[in-house]
Amino acid sequence: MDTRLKKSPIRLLLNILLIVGLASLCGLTWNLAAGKDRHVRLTRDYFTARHLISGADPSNPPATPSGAGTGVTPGNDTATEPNRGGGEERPGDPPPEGESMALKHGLQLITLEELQAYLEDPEGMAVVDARDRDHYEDGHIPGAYYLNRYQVDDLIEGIREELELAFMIIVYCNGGDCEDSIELASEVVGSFGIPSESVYVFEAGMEAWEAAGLPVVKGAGRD
Amino acid sequence: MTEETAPEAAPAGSAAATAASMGEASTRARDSRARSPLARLDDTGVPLLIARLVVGLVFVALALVKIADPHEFLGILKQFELIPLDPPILINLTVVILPWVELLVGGLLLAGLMVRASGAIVAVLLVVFMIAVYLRALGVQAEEGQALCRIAFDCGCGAGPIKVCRKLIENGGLLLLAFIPLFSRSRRFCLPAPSL
Repeated sequence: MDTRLKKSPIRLLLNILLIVGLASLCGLTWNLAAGKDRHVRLTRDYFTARHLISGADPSNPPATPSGAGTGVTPGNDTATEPNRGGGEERPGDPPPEGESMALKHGLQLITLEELQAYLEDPEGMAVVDARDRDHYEDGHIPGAYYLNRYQVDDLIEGIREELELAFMIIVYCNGGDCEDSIELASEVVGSFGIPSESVYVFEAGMEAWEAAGLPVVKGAGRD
Repeated sequence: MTEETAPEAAPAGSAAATAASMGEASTRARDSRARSPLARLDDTGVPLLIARLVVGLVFVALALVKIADPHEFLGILKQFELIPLDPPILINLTVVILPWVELLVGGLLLAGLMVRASGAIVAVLLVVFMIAVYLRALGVQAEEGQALCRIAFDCGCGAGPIKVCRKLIENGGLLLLAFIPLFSRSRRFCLPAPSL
C-alpha cells in the first residue's frame, strides 16, 4: 500500500490546523494593533442590554417626559399608564408593529417632538450619538456628543461630567431596527452609574430626524 | 504534490512486485479510454482554476469588509444568536479570528497553495453559514410570519441586507465550487507545494 496515500488525511488535518492557527495569530495581532475604533476588547461584554429584559417589570412602566400618552398598546393589559408602544401614529414615533424595543428593556422613550424642544432649550440636556464615527460625521443631531457604543470605555471620560450634570440624557442611533441606542443606554446606566431616570432613548433615530427635515450637523464637531 | 502524480510507467526491473503492479494499475488508470470524462476535465486544471478564482475572490473580498469594521460584524453576529454571549470572549474571539480564516483561505485558494485544506475549510464555513442563515430566517418567520423567501437581513457577509433565498442559493453555488479544490487531483496553475 502506498504510504503517501495513508498520510493524506492526517496531512489534510494538519494543514487545516495550520491555517486556522495562523489565522488566529494574524487576527489577534491585528486586533492588538488596530486603532481604538477597530479594537475589540476580548473579555468585554458588548451586549449588556440583554440583562435588562429579564429585570424589567411590565406592571410598572417607566415615566415618560410629558404626562400625556398617545394611547394604550393593544395587548399590554398589565400597563397601568399609557405607554408609547402603539396608539396613533405621529412622525417620529417608533414603528407601530410590535412593541418598542426600548420599552421591552425597561428604558424610557422620547419622541421627535420632545427632542425638537431640546433644540430650543438645551439647558441640562445631553444628546448622545451611539453610532460609529462615519455615521456621526455623515450627519448628527446638532449638539450631540459622539459616543460610539463600542468605544464607551475610551470616550466616556471626555464627557462624563456633562452626562452627570444633565438631567436628561438622550441616546439615539439610526432608528428602525438599530439597537445601538438601547445598548448604549444600558452601558451608560449599568457601567457608568448614570441614574436610569435621566436616560431616554430616541428610538425613531436619525432616520426620523432627517425625514422631518430638521437641521443636521456634519463633520466631527458637535455643532 | 507528489502524492497526486502516478508514475508514468511501471519501473522496469524494480524490485517490489507490489510497486510494479501499482505502477501498472496507475498507468492503466491514466489510459484516456479508462478515465471518466469528469476526471479528464479535472486533469486540465481548468475547473480547479475557476473554482479557486471565484471562491478565493469572494472570500478575500468579504473578509476584508469584516476586518475593516469588526464592531459592525460583532453586532451582526449577535443577531444570529448562534454564539453564546456568556462568556463574551467566545463571540469576541469569533469576530477577531473568523475573518482572518476567510482571508487566509481565500488567499491560499488564489495562490493555489494548500488547496485541499482550503477547500475543506471553505466547505465547512459555507455549510455553517447556510445553516445560520436558515435558522435565523426561521426565527424571523416565527415572529413576523413572512414567507421564507421574502425575508431579508444583513447576513454579515459584508454585502449588506440580502434576501434569504438568494443568499442560500449563492452559498450553495459556492459550496459546490468548493468541492472542486477539495477533491480535485489536478494541481495545474498552482504554486508548487513544499513536500512535507
